[in-house]
Amino acid sequence: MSELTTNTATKHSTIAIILRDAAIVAVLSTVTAFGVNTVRADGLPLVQQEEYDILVPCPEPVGDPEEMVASDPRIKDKKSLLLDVRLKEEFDAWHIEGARNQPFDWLGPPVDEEVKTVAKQVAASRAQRVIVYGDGDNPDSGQEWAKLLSGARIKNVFYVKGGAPALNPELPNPAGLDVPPPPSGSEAVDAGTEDP
Amino acid sequence: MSSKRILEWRGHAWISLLIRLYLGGVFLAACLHKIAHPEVFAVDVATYQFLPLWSVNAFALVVPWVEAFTGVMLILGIRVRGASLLVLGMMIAFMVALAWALYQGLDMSCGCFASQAAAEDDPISWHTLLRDSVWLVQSIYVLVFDRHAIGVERLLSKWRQSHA
Repeated sequence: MSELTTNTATKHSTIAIILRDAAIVAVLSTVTAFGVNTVRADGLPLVQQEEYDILVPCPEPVGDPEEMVASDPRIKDKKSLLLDVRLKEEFDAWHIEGARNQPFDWLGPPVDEEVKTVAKQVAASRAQRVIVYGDGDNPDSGQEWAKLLSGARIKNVFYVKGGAPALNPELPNPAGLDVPPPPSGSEAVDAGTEDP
Repeated sequence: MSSKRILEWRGHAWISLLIRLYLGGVFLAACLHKIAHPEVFAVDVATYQFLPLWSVNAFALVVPWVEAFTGVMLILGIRVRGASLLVLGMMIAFMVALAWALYQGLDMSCGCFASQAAAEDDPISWHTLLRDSVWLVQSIYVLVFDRHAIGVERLLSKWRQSHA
């Protein structure tokens, strides 16, 4: 009985020593840290008042849309939903017949709500596929929108390689980008509207 | 074999010595950048979005020094069980924060050895969590089994006994 009591007491004593040692190191570390910080010319304030600028990219649900060339016949297919994601002025100047305008704003606010709205419209349209075309720049606004739509679980999302300039060679090419040549023996995809 | 005999097996001290040298080295390597650039580490801590703002700087200042002290203690063999208890506590805290960041889907640096600027070199992932869990198990081993740690403290004890 006395041996058992002694063992238990020893065990408790050992745990107490371990905890005491850990506490001493923690206190020593705290004193050293604050001491060094006080001495440093560029020491940190102990209590941060302003929020830190955190530069972590927000996780965006993006998918992996398929690429489509400008000559692909599915662009003219009535079962395709066409999205023109260029600026409204560019859309008004020229767009493929039947295309909807959904401008992609690189510097604008988060487009989550827009993506959800467009995703609902796409789902309601009963189209078999969604084809997005943008400015054809690098990065291409069409491809970016297509990624967002894919990330919103819309299936069969495509983007036109080279964007609007690939569909209509008369449009100015984005600077510094090689746009694929128009399909041989065919004119640009029929335009719905032309310049007034 | 009884649990008492397992606990008192002499081989533990040698296995533990290897673990201590490794863990101590890891923690010393981890603390250097943080001590030199606490302002950068504070941003790393804030990036986890886990601690309240008022505690971020204090945490960023103190933790690297705890790592430094425990690293030295583990390597030299001074109060290793107390040091390993602190390592255990830190590993649990790091793993909870890491799991939180992974759950949030944050694309960021671990902040374990370098800064957020090195996110591409040391991004957080489930592998980071696995790595931390290995260190956690190692610290538990030292805490439980290293009862007669090989190191400075043992040498001093022997020297005192021989000169008593």
